[in-house]
Amino acid sequence: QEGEVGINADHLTSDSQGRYALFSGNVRITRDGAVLKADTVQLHYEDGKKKGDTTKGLSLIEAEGNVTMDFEEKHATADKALYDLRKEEVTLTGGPPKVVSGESTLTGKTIVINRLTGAIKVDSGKSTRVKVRLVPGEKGFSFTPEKKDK
Amino acid sequence: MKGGNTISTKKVIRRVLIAIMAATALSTGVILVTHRSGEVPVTGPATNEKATLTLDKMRHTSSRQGVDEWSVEAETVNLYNTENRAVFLMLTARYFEKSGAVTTLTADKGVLDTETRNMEVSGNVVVTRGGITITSDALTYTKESQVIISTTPVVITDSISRLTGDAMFLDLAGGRMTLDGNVNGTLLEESKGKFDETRSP
Repeated sequence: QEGEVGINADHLTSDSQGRYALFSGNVRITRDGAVLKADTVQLHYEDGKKKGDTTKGLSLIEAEGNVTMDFEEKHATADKALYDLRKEEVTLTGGPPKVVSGESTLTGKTIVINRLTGAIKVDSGKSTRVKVRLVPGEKGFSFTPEKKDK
Repeated sequence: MKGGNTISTKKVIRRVLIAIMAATALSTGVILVTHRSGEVPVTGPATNEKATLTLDKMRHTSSRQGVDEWSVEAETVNLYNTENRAVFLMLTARYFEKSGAVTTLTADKGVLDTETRNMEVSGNVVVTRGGITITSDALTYTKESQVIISTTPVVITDSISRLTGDAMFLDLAGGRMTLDGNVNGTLLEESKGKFDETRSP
């Protein structure tokens, strides 16, 4: 169901002071067709108290350790992934992060995937250059975002 | 052996007197308990050979300096004085926290340690707090540390999310909950911190 997050894990620890919930052990999260796996996943909530913050509820999914994400026929890997549900943006770091689509590959220091617009932004770092391998005849990294407009 | 007879009769009389005093003390205590809560048991105690005393339709509220701490109601309660144990059948227990939150627990059976106030409940166990409901087959509540533990599968639900796990540890005072084993859940993004079971409403 759209807007529904499915979660499986070995453990959950929730702490009302920290306003978060930490899932650990073979964590698998599904949301709008994307499947995110990691060693630990922390859910962050907004409680609507910040000035001008009218939205409440789940705002950020923070995954760490052996992160993989499968979305729109792509497979991404990284050490860490931050999924901002408001912006529909996934920021991958560490590993270095890599996105594979068919035989095409994309890597850099940081990869930001916007699931609303379909845009993928790759930044390099001192020691990590942006590397792209596109195979003719393949879809590559473009995809028509059937995501709804938020 | 006339002397011998008189001594043993004295012993018997003394034992009977002690028994009567103990029974009186016990019933006074029970009456005090029920009176303090303003509820007198509607029907007279049924007989139950092992229990020191059995009460039907029992209700008790425990308060300190005029502030209610917890209350318990039951279809039947069997009091086992020698074992400091009270067994409640079809019970509803309520815990009034300083924050104003009320945790309500219902179950088929509850065994209360009358000294430590710890409780083990089993059978259709339902705990509600704020908008959240926790169901399990068995739970234990430790008053000293304010902890609820379930070693049987637990289901935690509210209006827009559902979470299950093989075992649960809920620290009411510290505001922390842990679920262990086969944790599965679905939540809608507007679920507003649903996993913070211990958040005050």
